[in-house]
Amino acid sequence: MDKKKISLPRLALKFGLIAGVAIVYCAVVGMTDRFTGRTIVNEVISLGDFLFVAFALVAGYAVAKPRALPGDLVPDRARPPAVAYGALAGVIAGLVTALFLVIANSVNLRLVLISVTETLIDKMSYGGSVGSALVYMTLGGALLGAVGASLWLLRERARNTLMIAFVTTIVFSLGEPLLRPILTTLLLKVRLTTTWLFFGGGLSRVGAVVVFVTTALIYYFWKQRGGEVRGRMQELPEAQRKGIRIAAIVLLIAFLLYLPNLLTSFLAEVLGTVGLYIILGLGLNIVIGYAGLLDLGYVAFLAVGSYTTAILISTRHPWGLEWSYWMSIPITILVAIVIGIMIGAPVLRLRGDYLAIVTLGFGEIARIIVISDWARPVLGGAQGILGIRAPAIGDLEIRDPEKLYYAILICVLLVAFISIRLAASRVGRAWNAMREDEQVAEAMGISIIGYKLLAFATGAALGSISGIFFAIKLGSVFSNSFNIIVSINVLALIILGGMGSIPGVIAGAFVLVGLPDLLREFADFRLLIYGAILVALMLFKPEGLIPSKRRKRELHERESEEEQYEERAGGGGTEPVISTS
Amino acid sequence: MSLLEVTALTKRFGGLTAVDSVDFHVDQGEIVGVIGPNGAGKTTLFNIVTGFYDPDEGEMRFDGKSLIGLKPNQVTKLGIARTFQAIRLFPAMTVLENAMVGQHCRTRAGLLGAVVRGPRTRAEERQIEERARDALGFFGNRLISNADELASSLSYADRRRLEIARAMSTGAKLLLLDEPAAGMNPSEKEGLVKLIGRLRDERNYAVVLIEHDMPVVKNVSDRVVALDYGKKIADGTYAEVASNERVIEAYLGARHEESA
Amino acid sequence: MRFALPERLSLQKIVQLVLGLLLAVIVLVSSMKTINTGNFSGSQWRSLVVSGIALGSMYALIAMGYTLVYGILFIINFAHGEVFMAGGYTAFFVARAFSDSGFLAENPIMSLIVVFAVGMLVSMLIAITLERVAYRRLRGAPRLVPLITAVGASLFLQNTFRGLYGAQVRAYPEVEMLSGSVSIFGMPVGKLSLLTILLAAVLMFTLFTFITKTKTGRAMRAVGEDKEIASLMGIDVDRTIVRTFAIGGLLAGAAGVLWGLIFQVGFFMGFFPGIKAFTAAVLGGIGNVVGAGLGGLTLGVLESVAPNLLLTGWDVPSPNQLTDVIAFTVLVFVLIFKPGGILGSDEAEKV
Repeated sequence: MDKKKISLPRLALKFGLIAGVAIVYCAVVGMTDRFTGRTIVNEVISLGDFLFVAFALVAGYAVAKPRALPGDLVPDRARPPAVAYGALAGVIAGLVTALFLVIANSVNLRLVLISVTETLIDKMSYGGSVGSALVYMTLGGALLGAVGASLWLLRERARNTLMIAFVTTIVFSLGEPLLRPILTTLLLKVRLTTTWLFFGGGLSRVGAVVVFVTTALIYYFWKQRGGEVRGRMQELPEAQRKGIRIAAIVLLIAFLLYLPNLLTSFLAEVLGTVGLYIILGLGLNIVIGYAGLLDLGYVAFLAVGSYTTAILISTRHPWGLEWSYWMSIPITILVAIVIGIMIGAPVLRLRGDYLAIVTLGFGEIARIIVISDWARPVLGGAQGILGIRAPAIGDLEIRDPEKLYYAILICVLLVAFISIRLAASRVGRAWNAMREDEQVAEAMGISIIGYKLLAFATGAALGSISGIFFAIKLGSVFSNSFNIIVSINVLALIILGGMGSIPGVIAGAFVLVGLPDLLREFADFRLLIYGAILVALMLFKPEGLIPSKRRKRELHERESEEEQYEERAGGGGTEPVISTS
Repeated sequence: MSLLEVTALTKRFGGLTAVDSVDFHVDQGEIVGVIGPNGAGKTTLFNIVTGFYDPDEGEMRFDGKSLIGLKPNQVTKLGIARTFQAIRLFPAMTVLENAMVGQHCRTRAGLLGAVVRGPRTRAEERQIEERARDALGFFGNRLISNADELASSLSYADRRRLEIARAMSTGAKLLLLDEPAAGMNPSEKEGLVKLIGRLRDERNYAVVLIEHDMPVVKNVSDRVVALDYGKKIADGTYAEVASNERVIEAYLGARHEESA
Repeated sequence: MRFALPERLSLQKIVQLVLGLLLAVIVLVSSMKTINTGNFSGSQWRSLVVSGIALGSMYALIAMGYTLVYGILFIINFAHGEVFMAGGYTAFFVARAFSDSGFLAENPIMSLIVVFAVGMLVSMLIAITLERVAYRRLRGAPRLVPLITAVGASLFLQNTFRGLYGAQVRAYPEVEMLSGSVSIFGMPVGKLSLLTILLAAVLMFTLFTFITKTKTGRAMRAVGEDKEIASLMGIDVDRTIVRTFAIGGLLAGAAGVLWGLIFQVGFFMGFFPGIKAFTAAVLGGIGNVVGAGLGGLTLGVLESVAPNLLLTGWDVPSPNQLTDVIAFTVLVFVLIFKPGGILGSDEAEKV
């Protein structure tokens, strides 16, 4: 009990400072300003305010979290004094913010930090003087910190309920651009509207309460049931379980097919883009997730797909080939495979990080050539290639977002199917073995050269498929689209979702590609958030959101005792076969 | 004719001669123990035979075919499989998958087969699984009952067993075991001795094992070969080798018969 | 899939030899063609070389940071380019303030010293923060993890500075003292280039002495060899690592200010120089400080001279667009054929 009391103040200080710095960071970087434009709950709180709220709450929460005392188990609830320290953390956060406001008010920071405008200071002071802002921040921080800390006074179920309801409400509000059209269309069928739910770009006050309470109730009462259902599912015979799984997938696919009817054109287009990135992600997933080859230049294959298609099909290309799609698609994929093998061949022997940099180099070489004047006669230089007509099946032209959505959806399903089949096959096992221990895999008869090239070729083929759609979608090919950010995008979504896991890739694509398109306010800070997410992921959850079971063990169990023994006894699995006997 | 015949095998690393003109043979159904102090060249010998290194001089023949210049996977295909001093399983693959990978060199399905999964591929997959389970089953219930667990979750002794099972599933005729008893307690070592005996008796494997534990070597080997500084210094039964003066000298004069 | 290569080793060596010869032939022929066009005079080539050396000096300073960190932690600090950017960009504001207030005109030397100091300190701070927040926890992780963290940190830093200072590109104020050129051995050399080369040389020499002669330098080398043993010898491993990052940051900051004086600054300015400096570090032998210096200079000259030398002969339009291709091609070739670089061993090859 003593130990805990001593460290709590220090924790309060630590988390309070961190939260304060975070809030100020958001302000000076420009996020707060942009975000105040987005309503979370109409006339109650904006996204900008939410930054302050969130950080203060989290600070209080983190302070009060029960920690193991030496020799004890971790208690599952905190004692009341923790709330005071949570409040303290909030106060510190508030003070740091207020300090920033004081400085901003007296010194013209705008000369250097462009985001610290008069407007910003005004907003953060809620229109009052800086002195009153000090009071607001301090009191507000105290309150929020206390609330965050007091969550730990509750039992786990209650606590989780509140947290999940809270997060769901926020997410619901942020998802307004997507949810409103869908819900409106659905509810219209039962003669209801959604005007009471959404207002001003976010949730209305009534709406927020409804969402919060509903989620809380659902979670609280169904959590238990969920556990029971899962338990009963485990007991079912394999065949029945498989049947249920298949039924679920069929339902999902049916829903996806019906989806465009619920969405606007814009949203269909967004989903189309998400689909493109899913295909890219699945392709890169094979190269990195299955075969373990860290490719940072994946955008090159996207470019190959797009440009080859453009050259073969465009009506405005100097070569004037104007082939049909039936001919050009197989050729495009073939070209991509050849280039994939050409890129793969020289890098076969390279180790992890070197391979990454070399592939990065290749990606950049591709980009530069594609933009260059030198290649302009063929690749169109900085202008790119225009005049890519839409593919047609009989009379049906595939140009508008809805039809493209279907085409892409079919492709996504196909590629996902291929990925799943590969994972559970001899080829997949060979890749896994090669990734985990190249030398032993070779001893098992796995041709390292062959399988690495196969991985590159497959990745190239899938990347080029995405490239084909990309060209069709835009009707032209712009050289600026093929930069390293795309490669990093794809990498990020695989890692966020969980490397090697197909649901993970899909989830990652939705989060990293779909969300930014929906949340306009985030658009400017997209890369910033990506970077932060990547770092945070690697520090805390390297296996991603929906990891495959293996990956979790692979990344977390490295330092188990026995492995340390083996490492001392005779070298770990990554050392060459040389030993001392 | 011997199953494995090594003649005047020599391997140098810069100025160091790791293996010095070694003659060595293993007959069908024999268990040969290889002993020698650290640095004597035992694992290097394994590495050369299995194709990880090319020898500088000498000949090696397995089942009549020359092993010179062969890559590790080609050696495996011929019928030699090995385990490693530090257990090298595929940690994030399941126990069953580890055993299944062993059969890679004996199977064929490629990309197309994986995606389409026609009758031939399915039959092959079934066969792979059967053979893998069979290899796992050799060890009683221990490995089979954990077939779908990750290899890294097994106990140390079970992981050693799995490594041997994986070697078995390659369809080998000769097993090279590198310090299989390392890290085991006395009762586990007894189990290991019985196991190796069963490998010979029930499945007709020839086995070569590198070991430092003399009682294990004594109880399991038909024949013992001793190396020191890359040279073979003794070749015969355990009794002969253990009483050989050069061998005793190589171990710095200590008598090892009772060491545990 | 079966690829039965008869003798692994010799096929690789043959391919290497063939490609090497091919490369040499291409370089030779291209150079001859260009020289034959007579487009460039001797003095033009000379000035290209000089600016190449200046460019290379900056690459060398940045490369030192990469190589130091790699030598001690065995990770590629992908975000080092942003360390370079942070100092150069932040120091800009100081320079501008000095210029606006007239201080720059009155006391150019003092101003420059302060500007450099600010740039170097800011870079150092960023480098240290990077180590503490992003890398420290990941010391034992599989290689993939720190690399991705570095990529994430790079993105984060780039865009943080974009948010802080804005997206447009800025030019350092003119420094009277540094404009124009001096005559060295009858050849005109820009004063700015001269400053760059000299400053870089001084810093690199200081670094080299530091590493070889001082206790901290020895500690750094020891930690690079074997962390555990080093700590058993009483070396504070954490502090040594922090110092390594700090030194790398200082050098990169100096390079950043120089870069700003010669070119411009912006939030994206670290990306390409970062990759090229990494190329330079690898070229010279990663982990080898002298190599980083040599690699940087080589790459700088190559980048300055090669596009014109190799491509003009073939009538390639706008050869300078393809400058970066040359750098990347060098990178790719070095990593593939000689990962150990000029001065390093080839142990970096296969694990």
